[in-house]
Amino acid sequence: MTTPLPQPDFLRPVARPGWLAWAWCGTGLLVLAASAADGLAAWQQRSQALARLDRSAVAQARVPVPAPGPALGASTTHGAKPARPADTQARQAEARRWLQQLAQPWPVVWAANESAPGGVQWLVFEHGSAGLRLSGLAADLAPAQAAADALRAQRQQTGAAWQGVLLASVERVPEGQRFELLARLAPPVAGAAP
Amino acid sequence: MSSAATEPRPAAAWLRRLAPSHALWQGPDGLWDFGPLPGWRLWRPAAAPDGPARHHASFDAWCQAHPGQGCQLLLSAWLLHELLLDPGLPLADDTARLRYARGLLQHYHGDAAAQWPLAAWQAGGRRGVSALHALHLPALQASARRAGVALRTVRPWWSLALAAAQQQLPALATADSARLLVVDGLLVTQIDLARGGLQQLQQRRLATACPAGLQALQAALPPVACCAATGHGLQQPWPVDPAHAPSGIQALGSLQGAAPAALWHAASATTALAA
Repeated sequence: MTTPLPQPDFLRPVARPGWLAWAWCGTGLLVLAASAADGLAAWQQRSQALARLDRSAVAQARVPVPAPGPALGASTTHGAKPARPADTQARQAEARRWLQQLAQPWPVVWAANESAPGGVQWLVFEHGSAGLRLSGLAADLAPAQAAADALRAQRQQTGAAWQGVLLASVERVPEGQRFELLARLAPPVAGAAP
Repeated sequence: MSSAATEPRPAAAWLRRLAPSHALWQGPDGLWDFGPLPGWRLWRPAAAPDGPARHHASFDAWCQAHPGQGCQLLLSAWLLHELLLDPGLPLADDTARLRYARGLLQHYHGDAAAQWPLAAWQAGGRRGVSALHALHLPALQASARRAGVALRTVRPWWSLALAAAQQQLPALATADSARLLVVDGLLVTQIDLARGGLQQLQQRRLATACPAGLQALQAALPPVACCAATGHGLQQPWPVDPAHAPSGIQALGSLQGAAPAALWHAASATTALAA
């Protein structure tokens, strides 16, 4: 602890901040300015992103409610900006595809997968407009037949009906029998009626 | 253009400009050059400046002999008046303090004081003003400009002597009450300290320029726990025998000679002159 000593100087009669103080001040101001510019840029980026999000939400709201079937391509983009129709249509088609996929009865489809007996290793699981395609690996043909039977019998458990359950192919591979099951989900009206 | 003609090598001029400033002590009888100031530096000085101080007739003569160099000018008490301001005075800033001091000096010294250069200072809550009455500051600056000399500071010698004495005798900065007498011949600057904080600053006259005169001055002042004397100008040597030495005064160096023997304490010069 040292008390400051008097420093009179006739060339600088009034005490003024030294050059080090000015350097500190300048550095601090520079840092402040840099961070302010950075913050402003980040804010602009954020508001641009929010605006983009808003625009895309509006565009999604204009997409008609997906009806699985035809007449999807005929939907018009009424009210949309005519600037880039191709872009808008592509985005709408993409949104429709996603909504179609979401419209599938996934719980039933997953239940089909889970209804298989033990001894079956599932390799491929696909479900789309073409129907259900399951590919699995078993030691012999009996588990494969059992899986097909379980699929047919699922109607009693879940209320959903699988039509045309077919053991499409059996292939002998070194690990055992590789088989493929095909099935189609019955239309909901037909399934719910009985 | 003219500087380019006289300075064929700008690099050498820059090196001279970056070299440490010389400490110049200006007394009533001339100027003494104590060589480059100590302190941290990038390279060692070419010539060790450990010789005695060299006398010059005036600052202008020194500038002629050392063109392009830097210097700090220290002023003897004979050239100055000192004012210690009452802390109770309602003075807002240094400008107000200088204006107040100017009025006071004009009251005591007449209209000449209207032109004196003033310098405000503050230390540990006390504030004061130094007035330079014996030199014409613009003339000094003109001399420096003519010779390309960088005149970096012009300050009273007592401010440096106080720093150096506190380095040499740390009790000065720690004692409850301490006193430093900066002897300048018959003129003595009395600096009273309390735990390092400045309490009193006053110029006093000695009856005789000898240790006994200093003893008489000290006896007339309020007693302090630690008292030291530094400076020059006494006619008789300080008694070596403690029995004959003035009691209660510790001499920092010889107090004889026409100029101070040294401006800084060699062992601790770096910190003493950091300012």
